[in-house]
Amino acid sequence: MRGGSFRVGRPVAVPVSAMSGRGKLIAVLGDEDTVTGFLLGGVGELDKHRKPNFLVVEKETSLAEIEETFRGNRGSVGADTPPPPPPPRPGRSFLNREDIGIILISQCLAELIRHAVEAHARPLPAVLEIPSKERPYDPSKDSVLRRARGLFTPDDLR
Amino acid sequence: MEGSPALDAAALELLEALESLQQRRHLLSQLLREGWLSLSQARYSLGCHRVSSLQYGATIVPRVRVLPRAAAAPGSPRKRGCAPPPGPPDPLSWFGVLVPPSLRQAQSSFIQGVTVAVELAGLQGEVAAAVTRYRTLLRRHRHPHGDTQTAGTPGDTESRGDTEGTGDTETLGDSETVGDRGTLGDTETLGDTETAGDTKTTDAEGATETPGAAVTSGATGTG
Repeated sequence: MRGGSFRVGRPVAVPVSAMSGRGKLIAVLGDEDTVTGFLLGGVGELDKHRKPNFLVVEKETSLAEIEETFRGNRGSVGADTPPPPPPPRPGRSFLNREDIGIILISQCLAELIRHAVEAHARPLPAVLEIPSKERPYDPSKDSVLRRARGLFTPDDLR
Repeated sequence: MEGSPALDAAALELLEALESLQQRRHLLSQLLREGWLSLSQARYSLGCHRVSSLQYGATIVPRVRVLPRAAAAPGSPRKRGCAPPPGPPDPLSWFGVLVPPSLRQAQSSFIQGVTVAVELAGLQGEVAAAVTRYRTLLRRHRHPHGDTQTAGTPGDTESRGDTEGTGDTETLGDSETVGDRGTLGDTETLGDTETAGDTKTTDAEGATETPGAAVTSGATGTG
């Protein structure tokens, strides 16, 4: 039996010299305000040699581009989906980059590419669905929580 | 029916993990809403096009990174309180020299949001690991080496438990104990972060605030 109460660890933000570059990035896919906010929070990376770790999704942003950014367009979005636009800079999608530890994605976007989100079963990068301005977070849609569904049935507690 | 202490403990852990997750999610939603509101106010102060993706710097250096828990050695020195080396530029500077308080407030909310998001990512891993543990134990419990009804026959291998197989919804693909490897827990902040507010941690251990450091709760995730 696992002893003790459920412990939650306490990581502390460690100021590190900018040269160290330890640690992985936090990527963001969301509307402009969400991305602007998290960039103000310090997560953004942008340099001309690499793809950015964020994507501002607007009305004009294509589904293909969202999926391409998230995981690369390996899956079939639809029979008549146009091929994704070539990436402006060479590089991999967020899921395929080893330097990204967490992907924050607005839940409404996750819904659009739900098949891609569901397919991701590795522990890293962690995918966190977040609310958007228009839609509050809905736990029933969350891929991670869905795995915990149906665990406690009346049969189990007999 | 005979219970199983291990199964009960696993169930409890799962429920506690889910509850922590829910609390943190609630906090994140709150912080995001505050942040968005402040951004709207800043836009009102500065003008619509002064707070948008057009302002993002041409080059951006990350100020926050995440350390996988395994990589953070327990004895690693925590440089609390000492002056951090000059870090990457503050994104607030993209918006001008004099920025309205609402923009600073937005930044503060989102900085806290980042901390909570990191915790959440760790907690999600914990929940996933707890789900797997519980399922495994449940399966063992139902297809036991001994059964749950007859007491007297040690050699009896007949399974009298649930004959419908495992019964619960087995989502395949969960064979990895997600929380055990590479659980994210630490947030590494480069340079100076103005943590204007505190992350409200509600769990029992309480929060020890240190100047200049953001305290986050993550999950230990070790199996």
